[in-house]
Amino acid sequence: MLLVWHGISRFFPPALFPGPIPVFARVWEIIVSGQFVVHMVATVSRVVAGFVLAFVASIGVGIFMGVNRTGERFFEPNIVVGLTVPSLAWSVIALMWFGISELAPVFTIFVVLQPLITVNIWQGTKALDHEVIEMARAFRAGRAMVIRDVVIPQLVPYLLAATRFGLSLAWKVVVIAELLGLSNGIGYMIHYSFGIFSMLDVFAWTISFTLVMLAVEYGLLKPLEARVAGWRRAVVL
Amino acid sequence: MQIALRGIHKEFPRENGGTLAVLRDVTLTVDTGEFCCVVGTSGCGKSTILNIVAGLTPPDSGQVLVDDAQVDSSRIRIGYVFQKPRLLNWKSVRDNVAFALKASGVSAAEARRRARHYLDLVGLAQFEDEFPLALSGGMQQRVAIARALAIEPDLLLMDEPFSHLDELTARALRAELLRIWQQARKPVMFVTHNALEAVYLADQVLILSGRPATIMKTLRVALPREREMEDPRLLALQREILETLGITGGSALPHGSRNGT
Repeated sequence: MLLVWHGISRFFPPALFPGPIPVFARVWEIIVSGQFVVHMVATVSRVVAGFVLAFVASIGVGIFMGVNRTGERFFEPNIVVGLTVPSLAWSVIALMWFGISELAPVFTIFVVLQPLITVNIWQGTKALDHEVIEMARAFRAGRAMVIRDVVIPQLVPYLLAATRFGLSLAWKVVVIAELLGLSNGIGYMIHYSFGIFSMLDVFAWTISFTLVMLAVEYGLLKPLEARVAGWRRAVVL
Repeated sequence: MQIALRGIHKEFPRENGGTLAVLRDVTLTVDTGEFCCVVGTSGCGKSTILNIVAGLTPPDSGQVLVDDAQVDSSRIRIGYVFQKPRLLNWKSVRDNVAFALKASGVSAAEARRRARHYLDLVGLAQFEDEFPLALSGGMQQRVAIARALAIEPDLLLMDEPFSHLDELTARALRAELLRIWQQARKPVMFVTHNALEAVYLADQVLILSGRPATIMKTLRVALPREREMEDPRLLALQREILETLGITGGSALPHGSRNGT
């Protein structure tokens, strides 16, 4: 991929399409200067805050929808509307409501993620295998044991999928929110680079940001998935 | 320990708002150490009887009595083998058995020890660390049997446990079940639609009518153990069951004997 990038960049002026070598040199500069850490911390803390809030709310709503018909009918429009409204619209609304504050991006991430994560948990709850729950009851397992050993293991794959989708969406949403109205964070820096018309900086910030996301994906989510879903591999044997 | 059902009625609500009468005045007694088979056509409510005994489904009226006193369903220890294995696929084979032991109050260390012992009994000792999905259907069902036996139940409930298995495996497991039962001498309620299986296993065979199910006939099988499935006396009893169920000989192979002959 890097070679293709390098090849293509030879045909364009570096101001429009810088090659990998100058871009990575700039990435290094950003990191060494300490700027990267400052903006990355701002962005990551917004993502984490919005994500955690959405996740917690979704677990409540999703399970409620999964076990209760009325709850399902009540919250379904919320899901449909939530999944339809563009995240850009939410960003603008949040900025007008909360002004330029930390609340705006966190709120935006929350409203964009919540319906998506809720759908996963809702479906996971509906797909629960009631036969094994009945089995546990026949063997006199208490409520705590049923939840810990029978219900949660069945929900874990759905929670993991929700985490993966949710985080990847949160990264995109936070950049838009920052670009529109904040004074720090990766999105702001991309916007700032655009302001001074430095394609090199736009590329460098985007890439450094992507590297962090890849680290989260391969360093955190994949190993976690392999650990909790190990029993599924038995099918292949 | 003796288990008795007295005048059990059960209806289930239907989608269209009406009700479906499943059990009508079911009265039966299973004596201490007795092997009781309940035979009936598919979908006649046999499983509902077991679920009521297990305390999973409350009856609309009637009583479940243990030793002549009204049962406190949480007091007696019940081993339940379902038609499908119903294992926890995310736990190892050993932990599946240990799960039932821990649910019945056995300490973790003791649960592991006993799980191993009972897996050995059903011939799965070397698979204890595997996940259930790595095992064949027959092996999974043996895990489910080990799970039910491991808690050393006061009463063993079995709901067509061998109906999904090939006849060779089923035969081996039936003989093994009888061997274990003869040692433990605990009452067994075994539901099946296979008339020959019923007479091979049981001391007492209860024949259920179609919905709403009620007991049409009680049959005693007084033959000594180490029975042979091809024993003509068993085949005669099988015919009696099929005739009671309204499935009479003719050229067509009766549904109830398909697995057995």
